[in-house]
Order: sequence, then C-alpha cells, then structure tokens
Amino acid sequence: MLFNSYIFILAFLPLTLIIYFLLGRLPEKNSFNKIFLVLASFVFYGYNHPGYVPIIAGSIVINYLLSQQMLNSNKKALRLALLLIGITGNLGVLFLFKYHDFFAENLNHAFSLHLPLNHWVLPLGISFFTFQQLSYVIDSYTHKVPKYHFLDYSLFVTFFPQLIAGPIVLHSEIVPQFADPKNRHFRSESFAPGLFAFARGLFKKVIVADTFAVAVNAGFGAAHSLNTAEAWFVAVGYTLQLYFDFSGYCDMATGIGLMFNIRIPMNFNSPYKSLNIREFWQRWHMTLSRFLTNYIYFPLGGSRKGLPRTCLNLLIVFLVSGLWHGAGWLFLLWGLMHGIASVLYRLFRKQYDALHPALQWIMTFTFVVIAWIFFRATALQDALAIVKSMFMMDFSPIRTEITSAFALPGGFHPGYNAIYMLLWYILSLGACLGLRNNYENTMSFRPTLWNAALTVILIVYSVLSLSGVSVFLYFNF
Amino acid sequence: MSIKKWCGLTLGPLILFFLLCIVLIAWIDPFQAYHLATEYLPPVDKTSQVYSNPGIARNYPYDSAIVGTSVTENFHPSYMNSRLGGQFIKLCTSAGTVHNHAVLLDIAFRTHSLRRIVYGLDVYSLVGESNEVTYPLPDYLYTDTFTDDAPYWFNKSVWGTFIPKCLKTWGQTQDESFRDKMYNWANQDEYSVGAIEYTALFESPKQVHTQDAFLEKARNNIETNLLPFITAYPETHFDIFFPPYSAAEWSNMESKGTLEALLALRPLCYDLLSRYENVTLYDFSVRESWVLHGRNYKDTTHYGEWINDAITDCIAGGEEIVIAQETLLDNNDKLRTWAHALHDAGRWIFESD
Repeated sequence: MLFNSYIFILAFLPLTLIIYFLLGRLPEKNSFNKIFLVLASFVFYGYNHPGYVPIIAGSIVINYLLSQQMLNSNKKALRLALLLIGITGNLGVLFLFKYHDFFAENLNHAFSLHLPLNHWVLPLGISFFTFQQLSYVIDSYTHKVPKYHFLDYSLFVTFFPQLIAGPIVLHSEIVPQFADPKNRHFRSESFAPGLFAFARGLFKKVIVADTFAVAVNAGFGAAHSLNTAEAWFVAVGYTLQLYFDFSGYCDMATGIGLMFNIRIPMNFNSPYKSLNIREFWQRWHMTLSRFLTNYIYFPLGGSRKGLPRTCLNLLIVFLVSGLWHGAGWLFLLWGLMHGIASVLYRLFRKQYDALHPALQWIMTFTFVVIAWIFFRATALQDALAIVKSMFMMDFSPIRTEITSAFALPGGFHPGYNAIYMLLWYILSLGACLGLRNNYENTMSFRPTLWNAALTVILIVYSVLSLSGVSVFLYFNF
Repeated sequence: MSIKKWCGLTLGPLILFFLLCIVLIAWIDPFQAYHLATEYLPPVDKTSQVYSNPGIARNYPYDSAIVGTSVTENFHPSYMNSRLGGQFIKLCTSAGTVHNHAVLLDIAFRTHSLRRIVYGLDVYSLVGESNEVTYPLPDYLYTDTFTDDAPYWFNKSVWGTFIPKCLKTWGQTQDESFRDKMYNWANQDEYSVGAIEYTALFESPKQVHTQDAFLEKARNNIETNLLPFITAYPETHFDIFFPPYSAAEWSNMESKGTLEALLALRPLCYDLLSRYENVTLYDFSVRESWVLHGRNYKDTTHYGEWINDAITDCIAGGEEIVIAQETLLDNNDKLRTWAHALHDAGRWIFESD
C-alpha cells in the first residue's frame, strides 16, 4: 500500500488510528493496541503482495530469537557465533532477493558460466528492514541494548510509516516510545503537527515530484536526442523529482508517526543547500548515512588509521551505499562518483573551503545533478549521452513532451508551457534553497488558522490529483 | 488557537469535503455510473469513451446493442430500431480490441436481457493478447462495487472538466436522437478519393508476416472474448459482420506486410463462429458499390454514416450472409487482387464518386 493512495488516506490510516487509540484505552496490562498495530502493518505491507508477509514475519522472529540468545549469554564465543549467523543470515536473504541475479548474470557473462537466475520479486523495503534488524543484532552482541518485549521489537520493524522506504530507525529511538504507556492515548499535540507534516509530504510527492516525473521520463526516454537546454532541464528535473519524492515520503512517514505519538528521526535536512559533498551526505538520507557510518565506516577504522586508509574506507562506504540503492553497475558507479568526490574533499578541504560559498554551492550542486543522471539512467550510454548534451551548446527548441508536463489545467495555449516549466523549476529550487525544511517546521509546529487552511488545501488538492481522466486523442480513429 | 481547535478546523472541513464530493458525484454522476442523466446532457465524448461506456452499458434501457470499433459508431440506433426491431444502444470503443468489447458485453449481459447484438468484427482487433485493451480502463467504473469508486469521487478531471460540462447543459434532457449522436463522427470530415489517398500507403513492406502469424492469438481472442457470450446466451442473436473497409485498406496491409496474415483470420472466424445457431456472419468487405467508391470514405478504413444505414438494411434483408467458408476464400481472393492492383498503381484506381 502506498501513502499516496485513496485506500491509505481515506480508509487504512483513519481506521488504524481510531482502532489503535480505542484499544489503547483498555487497561495498560493489555497489549491489544500493539498487536493490532503489528497486524495492521502486515496488512499495509502485504496489501499488494501478501506473499511478502511471511518473509518479514520470519525475519522478525529469527532476529529476535538470535538477539535474545546473545543478550542472555555471557559466553563471547557463543555470542560471536550467533552474531555471525545473524549477519550472514540477514545479508544472505538480502543477497538472494536483491543481488543474486545481478552477480549471477555478470559471472555468467564474464566467465561463460550458466548460473541459474532466480527472477524473484524483490520484497518491498527489504533493504530497510534488513538494515534495521542488523543494527539490533550487532548491538545485542555487544550487550549495548536492553531486552525488548517481542511486541515492541515487532513494532520497531513493522511500524508501517517507516516500513517500506525508511527512514532507517534505530531500535533505541523507537522501541522505548512504543513501550511508553503515555503513547497509548490520542494526543492532539502530536496529531496536529503529524497531520501538518503529512499534508506537506503528500503535496511534495503527488503534485511536485509526480509533475517533474513526467518531464524526466520523457527526457530519459529520448536520452540520445536531447539538446543542451533539454538535458539540463531533465537532469535538474530529476534532481528535484527525487528530492521531493523521497523527502515527501519521509515527511508523510514523520507525520503518520507523530499521529501515533511516535517521533521518527529526521531523514532530510535541506540537502541541496549543501556547500560540499560531505555536508550533502549529512543532510541527504541522513539515517542511511548514520547506519553506514556506525556499522561500516567506524568498524573499518574510520579516520583513525591514517589518510590512505580513511580514503579507502570512504570509497568502500560509498560503494556499499551505491549497491544498497540497487543491484546494478550504474548504482555502483554513482556510489563510486560520490566516494571519489568525498575523498577529493577530504584531500583538498582547506583549498575548497577557502572558495566563495556561492562557488562551493555551484560545484556541489552541479556534481550532485550529474551524479543523479547515472543513478536514474537504465544504461550507461544513456547517462553519458545526457551528460554530453549538457555541454554541447545546442540550444534548439525544447520539445513539447518535456514542457507539456507543466501545462496548466484549463486548456491554455501550449506555447505558454515553457514559461510554466521555468516557473516550476524556479519555485521548486527556490523552495529547496530558501525555505525551512519540513521536519523543522513540524517539530516547531504552532497551531494557526493559516496552517490549518494550508493543511486542508494541500490534502484536498493532492487527493483530487491522485487520479484524472486520461483523454485519448485518437485522431485517426 | 488551541491545538484541539486546530484539529477540529482541519478534520472538520476535510471530512465535510470528502463527504460532499461523494454525495455530489453520486447525484450529478457525469459518467452515469450510478444512474441515467436526467437533469443535463451527459458528456459522452469519443476522447473519454472508456469512462462513459460502462455507465451507458449499465444504465440505459435497451435490449439490443451495437458493438465494435469506430466503424460502428455512426450507426443510428433509431434507424436500427425501425429496421431490426427492439431498442438499440451503442457500446463502441474507438480502436478497441475484442477484449474492450468483451468487458462492455459483460456489463450489458449482467444488467440487461438482450435479444440482439450487432457486432463489427475488425480483423485488427483480434491480433493482440486476449486481455489486451487499447487504452487503460478505469477499473473502478467497470466493477459493480461502490467501495472502489474513490478515483471517481475525488478526481481532478471529473471536477475540473466533466462536472462543468454537465452544468453547462443543466436543464436539458436526453431525447431519442441523443443515442444517434452518441460518438457519431460522421459530419466532421471530407469523404473523397483525396481523403483515402492521404492515409493510403504504397510502400514495400519491411517485414512480411506469414499466413499463420496471428492465427493463434485470433483463436484465443475469439474463444476468450466472444464465444463465452455466444454460448452462455443462446437466446441472444449475434449478427457479426466484417466491416466494409475501402479497397485501399487492404493495400495498406500489403504495404505493412500483414495482408496474408490478416486475410487468414477471416476463414478462422467462420470456423469458430458459424457453428452456433445464434450467430449470423456477414461479409461486407467486397460489396463493390461501397468499397470501390471514393466518395464513401474519409480515409482508407472509415466510411460515411449512409453505409452504416445500408449495413442495417442488409442485416434486415439478410444480404451478404456467409454460409460457406468458400465464400470467404473467394472474397479473400478479390481483396487480394484489389490490394495488389492498388499497391502496384500507387494511387486510387477505382471509382472516385
């Protein structure tokens, strides 16, 4: 189920909230509200693919049992064995579903082998719930975590707002909140900012990101014939689409979490305001950066083992990040690009920081835009063609497939679409650079008539925009 | 402002708005999904046909239907009522596949007792997968349940375009002529040799499809999308006809390398359909007074509405009925000869008037 769907907004979310808080009114010794929320999360998760549910349910049970065994044991050898089982088991499942075919295909190609391909459908959010549980398993080995009730642990993994696309929450952030009896009851102090965040996130996803998506899809579909202006509009368009899509989703997750009195950590902090690549990764998908730092970069030695080793560690972390985003060479390449950029920043930080901030921003933003092309493209040739077009200085007219994505409703002359497009880019980029980010707005929420009206308008407009009537102009019948 | 008041100020209008949307759509109902429009003229438009068709199939009173692609859209139900009896309705989908027609027939048979179906069978509509539709269908309008209709109630196009269209004709009511005008495109174009030649192709095919190229898919399509209705409703008579494309359309097939593959589908249709007592198969493809005259066509495929009326007369008079497969094979020979002659000449060589 998606947040931006009728079934979720009009039925699942209101019903789940009402039933959860009604069950929360029962005496505290009862955990029916949590049982219900776990079951509701399974419904959310398996709505389109019920076959996914046993995978996540099995993963929860096994990881919980392993962790409890480690927490109960003082024998380091046993804990180490259990830790290895936990890590290989989690990564093994992730590998089988997500990476097996990628590696098998490449090995077959490189060595003329005939390794069979699984062609398995990737369970939704497997990368997220695998990483979340890995963090608990690893921390259980070092006895850094308390013993959690199984229901609280299950909610930490399955809690539907963050289940499919993160943020990657840590057990220590979420489980105590579920264990806190105060959170059993409806609180308008949480619900109001939650609804406010949800409305803004929904608007970012449905109206902004999905509008850019139309132009971007048209552009990437014609990657080899773009002129310079088109290539820049497509590349920057994807940069904006991705941000509004993912951060919109995270805003919705934050908002829904708050409606349930659960504070989900910040995942985006206006990343396109960054002046260098290090700052970018401190602001973009922050919970992934945190995970990779804590569980890969630091164990590799971080920056404590000399400059060459630090640079190597950075490259490894970004290659893992690339592979985490998807099983493909272009994701690896994208990760490598960011890794190299991070190493260069590390090596020439003094000189770079001495540049004018405007120049720093232009360099960082341009690099991010170009790197996203490789992230989005389905073939290296397509990505290279777009990058080449960006610097070809061919300023022929922009095709209507791109400009028409920004057409206003009401049948205005299509000649105006290029102007609307320009406005969309200016306003969207301006919002990324000039406005406070949504998380900060949510956490410092003050009830006013203005933001009540804004919330209503954003939700109404977004819900009405979830579907339209496709007019088929079959001119020749 | 207190936080509780804020919650009330947002949730109240939101709930009210969503309820109001449902009530107003259920009342105005621009696609007639719930009831026939009685207060205004419904926006029945070719460009949004897949949205208006299910409501037409479900809610109009009728006992006979015209089913097919754009070449069936100019039939006049009023004339068919007078010539064939009964009360006709159009269930047409421009460029539709047989599956498009099947989903409409399914609604029609579930909601009405039908005595006659006049079905235009385009060979093109048989060559796709059996569940293939030309345009994505808005499933929520095709199901009988109310609970999946949210995309209809909360839809920017419905509110922004279709409701205003309804309001513009508020106070007017549908009369009998409304059914004749429904989807009719007859008076929008010029009918001439020039119009035919504008859409005619006289090229060498890039790839020639073999005779059996589409046979399996066509068989599957007929068995999945047509025969189930014929066998389930023996009391309903199916008048199935091959439409009279201009001779140039067969030449176009030659240019695309599909002529033999598409001609081969016609005897197959006879094989599969002629064994049922409630089916009459007609072949109007070789009616020379129609298909060899330029004045009848707006392009290689589409004929004027007078041909639709003439087809109605033929069905009423029992003309052009195919009673043996040999007839179709002979007709195929004629079509092949015309196609080759036109293709070789590179222009229209038959009557211009």
